Amino acid sequence: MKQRLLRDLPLLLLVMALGLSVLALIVRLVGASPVAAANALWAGAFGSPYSISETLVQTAPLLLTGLGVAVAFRCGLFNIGAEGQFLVGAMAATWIGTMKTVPAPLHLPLVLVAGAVAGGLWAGIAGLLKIYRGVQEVLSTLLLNFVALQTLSWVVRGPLQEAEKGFPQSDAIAIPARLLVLVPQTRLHAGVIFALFCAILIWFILKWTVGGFALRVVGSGEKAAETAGIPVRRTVFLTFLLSGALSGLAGAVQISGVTYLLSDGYSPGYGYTAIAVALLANLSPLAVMPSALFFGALTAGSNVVQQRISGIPSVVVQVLQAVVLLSFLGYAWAREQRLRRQGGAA
Amino acid sequence: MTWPLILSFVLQSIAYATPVLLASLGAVFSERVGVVNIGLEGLMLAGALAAVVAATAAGSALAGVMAGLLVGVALAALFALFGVTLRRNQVIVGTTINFLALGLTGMLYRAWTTAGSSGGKKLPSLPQIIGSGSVAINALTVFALVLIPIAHWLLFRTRFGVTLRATGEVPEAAASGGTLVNRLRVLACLLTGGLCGLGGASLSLGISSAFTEGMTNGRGFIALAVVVFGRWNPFGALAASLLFAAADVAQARLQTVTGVQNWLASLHLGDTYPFFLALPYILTLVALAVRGSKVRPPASLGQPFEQG
Repeated sequence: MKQRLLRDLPLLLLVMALGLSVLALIVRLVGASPVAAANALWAGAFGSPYSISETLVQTAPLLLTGLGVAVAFRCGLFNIGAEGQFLVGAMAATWIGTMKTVPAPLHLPLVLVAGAVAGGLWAGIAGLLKIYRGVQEVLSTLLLNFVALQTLSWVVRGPLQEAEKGFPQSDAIAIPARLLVLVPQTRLHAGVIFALFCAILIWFILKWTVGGFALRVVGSGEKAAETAGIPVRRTVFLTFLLSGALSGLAGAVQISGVTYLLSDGYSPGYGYTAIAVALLANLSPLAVMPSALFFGALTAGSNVVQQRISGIPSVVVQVLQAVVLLSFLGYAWAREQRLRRQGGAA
Repeated sequence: MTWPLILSFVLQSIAYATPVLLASLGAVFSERVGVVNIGLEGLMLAGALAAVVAATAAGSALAGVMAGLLVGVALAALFALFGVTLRRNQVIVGTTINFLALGLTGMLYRAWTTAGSSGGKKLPSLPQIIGSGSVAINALTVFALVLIPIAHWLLFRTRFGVTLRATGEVPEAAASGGTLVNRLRVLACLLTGGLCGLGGASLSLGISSAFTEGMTNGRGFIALAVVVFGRWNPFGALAASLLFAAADVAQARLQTVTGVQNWLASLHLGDTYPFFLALPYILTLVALAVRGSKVRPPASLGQPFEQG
């Protein structure tokens, strides 16, 4: 194992060098200095205790949505609707969180459950459409993202709008509904640990439970799964629910851990970044942890890049993600080629 | 309803259908040959920006259209490299193309405007063939409409079309018949890219007369749905994209009708315009659900192929 890693290292470095040069070129193209941008990126991601806390804050939603995407992809389902599921989860969490009548000790658990349930049901729509109407989930989940976005836009101007009716945002959720802040003066909250716990739980489910086994078998081929007597439809539907619940939970954690209120345009695209997170982790729940950390650092870092370097807007993070993904795809191809050559020789 | 109103509704629907129609025509070709490209959205967006920049710089709408076409083809080449030649998962490559296009257009557009490169020059508009203002049918729309019978003929009446469709169904058989499967697929991808670039140009030069970040707003995804709903057939794509455009125009017009506004206000739902904006996506979902189980995509859709 160690040997193989060592043998892949030159290739990995080559791919990284290629990716970085492309990025530097793009930064130059918009008239900024690549070195200054790289410095700002590092400072924003790991430069100080505060920026490390910000990286972790960005990691939590990416970890949960990344798990959601990984679970679905493992079952062969291209759920690209994590963004919508995240938003629906955040809406449900805000709804419960701003209720006045909930007993205090129950408030936080109910908020999180509401997020998970809402996200699960939202993905469940795509599941039902696939199972009963043969609609490709790639399309339905994407379209549901747009519906969720408009629903958000409505609820922050309608039923969930703040009492003062000033801005398109909700009131703050009740204090007992909030996640504990771990380090004073930062936004680091208990949801980060909760997300790590979820990753281990999902790893356990996939690896050691009957349901997880069924999920993986369906992912490796529906016909084979059917022959083996695995209820394909039920597995597909449950996977949609689980995948959506994880992304919905991410939305709830973001509400009760970071922002405490819902606003228009709530997600900076966590649900889309989640796809990159899951892929870089090779769809393994445990590997999603470092992968989410990596993209969390990129997100936190590019927030600072955007503030410090004129000419680089926040969308730079999308370019970063694209370059990382393309590098990863290229690396995967080159590795496959080499393994095959070796296989042929043996 | 009076005749002028109906006429303007129809014309505006046709005009609004153009971007989606062009993109879905492209997607019909690539899906028929077995390539699924989620990146239509990104290809359109890149085309939209390229068209605005080139048209402003050259002072000519035609230059803008050509730039949209070329940038669409270039970005599609990147998709084809990873999605076809290197045999990576096409859904993933397409998603990456969307990231790239959204990020790059955002950065470049910002750089372009802050550099004052537009120099206060006016954006030339596409030549208008029928009507004027928001109900005008421009040259690109006419081009798209002319393209439909040509695409149909190419797909169903030529040897090329037969090879294309056979490759999408059973690539192994096509390959043993001497077809270079991946080369054909790359070609189809480039064609899709060009048409998406044109679609983007028709959006930024024709409908909006400007570029804004993320302006495609899901049109690329609707185009993919249009392909399914139109049964992977150019005339079907025309019908479906007209249907969606009509829904879009209808929701925009309904919002301004006083009776509708009063009725919505009486429901005390707060600002209800998001409902209208969500309507095209919901309609697309419903349409897919209704049509869904009756259609069958090309058998090898999304499956990578390796020439033996």
